[in-house]
Amino acid sequence: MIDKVMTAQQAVKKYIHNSDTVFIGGFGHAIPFAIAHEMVRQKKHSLHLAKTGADIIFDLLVAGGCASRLSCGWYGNPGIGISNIISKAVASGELALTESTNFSMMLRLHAGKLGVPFIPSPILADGDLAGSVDGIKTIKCPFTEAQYQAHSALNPDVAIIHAQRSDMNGNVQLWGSVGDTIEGCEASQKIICSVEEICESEEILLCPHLTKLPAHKVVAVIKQPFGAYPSYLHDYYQRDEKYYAEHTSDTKVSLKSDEWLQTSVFDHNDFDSYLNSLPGTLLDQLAWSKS
Amino acid sequence: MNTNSESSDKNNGLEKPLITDEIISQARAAFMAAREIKDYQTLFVGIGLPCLVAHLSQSFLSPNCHLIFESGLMEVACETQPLSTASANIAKTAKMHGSMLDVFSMLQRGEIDVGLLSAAQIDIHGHLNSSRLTTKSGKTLSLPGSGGAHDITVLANKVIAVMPSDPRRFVNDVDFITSPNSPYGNREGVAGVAMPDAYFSFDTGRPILQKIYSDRNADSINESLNWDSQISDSLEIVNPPEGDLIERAGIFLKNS
Repeated sequence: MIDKVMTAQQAVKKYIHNSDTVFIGGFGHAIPFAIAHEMVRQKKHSLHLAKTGADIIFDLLVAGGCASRLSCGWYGNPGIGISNIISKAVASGELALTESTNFSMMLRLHAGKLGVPFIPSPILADGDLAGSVDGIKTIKCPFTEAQYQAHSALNPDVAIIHAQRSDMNGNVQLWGSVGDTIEGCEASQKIICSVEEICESEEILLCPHLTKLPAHKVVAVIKQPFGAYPSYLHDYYQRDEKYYAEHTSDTKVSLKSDEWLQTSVFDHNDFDSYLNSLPGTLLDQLAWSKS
Repeated sequence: MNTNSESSDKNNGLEKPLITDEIISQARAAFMAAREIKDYQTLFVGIGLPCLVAHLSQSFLSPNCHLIFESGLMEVACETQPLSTASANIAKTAKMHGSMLDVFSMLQRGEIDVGLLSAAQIDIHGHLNSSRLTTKSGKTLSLPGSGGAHDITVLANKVIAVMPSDPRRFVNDVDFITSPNSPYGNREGVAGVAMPDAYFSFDTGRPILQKIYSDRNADSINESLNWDSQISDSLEIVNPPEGDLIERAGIFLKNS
């Protein structure tokens, strides 16, 4: 069995290349912040980021200069507000944005997963998003002659995700709300995964139904407790609501965004160092509660 | 109306808030929308006011309705306001953790009775905007975008919009058509919009003031909004929510 365990630093260096298309896993849950921090630290650039709904991890990657293109159905801070950083980067021309819808992105990733060139659907036939989205063309159903939109396959070069646990070979077990994570990973050529715990393969065999990502696609397994912080991980820790609530106003001006990157990423050699810089009892307070 | 926040003990340990005008306003809009839902219906729920509609439906009017969120969460008990469709508070009460593809597939197959949505703007055609606003000086303000809103509008068997009482949100033409009121096949599209004073239907393809709360006046509502709407010949008068219902809305909004 191949041991794929490595540090985030090694994984990002080895498997994420400038100009790659990168799928960002986690949907409001299990968001791979630790890997994203490392991408910023290594100054990856010209990436095409793909996702259905883009959470504030995209602010980090865009502010960090990693992305030149973003394809998504939504971007912002869920339940809080708009993304100041992405809006500004799009307005200045630094970031090319292709806005579609969450279902369209889902269909494009699913086509990628199935290995077919497109999937037909009636969405994006009308309205102001129709016609403006790359990768969608009108087609006629060969059986009924009715018109549909063909949503072209998206096959990212690499997917990054965070999960509860894995063995050293990359049998990744993930549970809780998954959103688009599984489709996005299966559409991608390879998967980089950080996990809370690395367990023995014998433990995986006790509950193989929890294994959601196939080991043959997983190229790196990173042991990173709290690797989804400040988002949450089901059965492990709650979201840092204060962080999310303050993020939108904290990133209104560029100077503050720079300070945010400096204190959370560049001042640290790795994610553990960042976690250690957080107020003493914060992570304890985020302990998962069943109710 | 009982505005004393220390009255009820049926709150499962959740913090009871002071009842503000904002809570009452949101409860009124949500209750107006919840009245349009039938028991046992399957609802696809957007974030914001739609969640309060789902909560009031489940707690008071349609206890057997099925709640679905775009993150893939199904059979959710919506007890407190979620900030996102994958928030832990609803993930913990969901009886099924499916995927986003699962739930959008159900939507596309026509299994969703009602899509509940809010938006930055709605127009007289029933189109919704959640993408960008053009200011009076011609500047563009970018908003987060469709998410699943376009998909829900086109694919749900019926859509009920729910909006705050802000005349800038009710317009003759939206600045950007994110979610066109052009439903797939023989689906109904945007059936109506609820707000804190009233409910407008789009039965004729244009907004008709169909229901108002008993403490409001139809002419003044129509005048206060920016858009070209008519008053129905069979205008229905509805008693506004009060007491326990307002308190539950307050608890829901406070404990997000």
